[in-house]
Amino acid sequence: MSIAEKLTAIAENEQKVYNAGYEKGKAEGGTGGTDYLSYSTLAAFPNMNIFGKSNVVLNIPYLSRTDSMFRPSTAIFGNEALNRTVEHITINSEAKVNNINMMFYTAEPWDPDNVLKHITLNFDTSQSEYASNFINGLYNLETVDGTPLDFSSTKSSNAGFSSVPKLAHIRVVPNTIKVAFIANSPALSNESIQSIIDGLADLTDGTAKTLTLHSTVGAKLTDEQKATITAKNWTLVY
Amino acid sequence: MTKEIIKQTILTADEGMYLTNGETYGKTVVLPESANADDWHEITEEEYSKKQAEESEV
Repeated sequence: MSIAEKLTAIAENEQKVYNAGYEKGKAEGGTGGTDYLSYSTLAAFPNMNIFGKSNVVLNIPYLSRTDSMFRPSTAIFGNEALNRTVEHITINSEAKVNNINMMFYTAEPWDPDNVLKHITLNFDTSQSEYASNFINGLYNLETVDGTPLDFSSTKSSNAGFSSVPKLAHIRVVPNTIKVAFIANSPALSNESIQSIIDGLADLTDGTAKTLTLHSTVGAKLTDEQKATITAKNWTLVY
Repeated sequence: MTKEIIKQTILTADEGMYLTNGETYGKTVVLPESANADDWHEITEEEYSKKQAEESEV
């Protein structure tokens, strides 16, 4: 089999698994908002051998909650072998996820040997009511991309992330952040910083909320960026 | 031409201190016009480290 034929077969197999999950979810009456994948996710995808792969793609059609799903201490990454091999994980779902709280949260002591650098989230977070600490403690994480993060439904007291010392790239949907937001990485790119500032909703008709940035990031904000933040009735802390 | 006047209050912690409102901590706080500077007070770095350690255990 040629390399091209192998790649085609892999893609067709992944599509079969995706379709099987989709049809199963529909048959069980799933509406895209009810199925909670717990820590048995690996068992739910027996055809998706993710061990030994540095780049993992999960297609989960009827995903509703991801809170704590990928925490290194518990779920998929409770397996140390995966912590040492998976550098990039992609999660695809057509459902509107309603909870991403502590999705990848890692408690102290953080693991410098966890090789996860890149998370791609291809699903809608606009209905997520909880979004705190969702990537905290991922020591080597550099990029979160895919569908820009939408915090418009977040009602927890705060949202965001801290203790991700290498996080440089993240994108937020403009004007969706309405709760206290923590973006505590010293490595944020200029584009990511601006995306977070643009992500702040206008709170001039309500109570000021707090945006917390790393001291390194705060120190390099321009006067214009600081003015934009306070003009929207946000308190900036760094 | 547009003209916009934005009022800010900038609080800066003294050396060896942190600013806090009881929930958030930082060396510098930039407040919008609607916010109350009296909500913020200084704590020592030692107190800050202790608070961080307590919160990480949660």
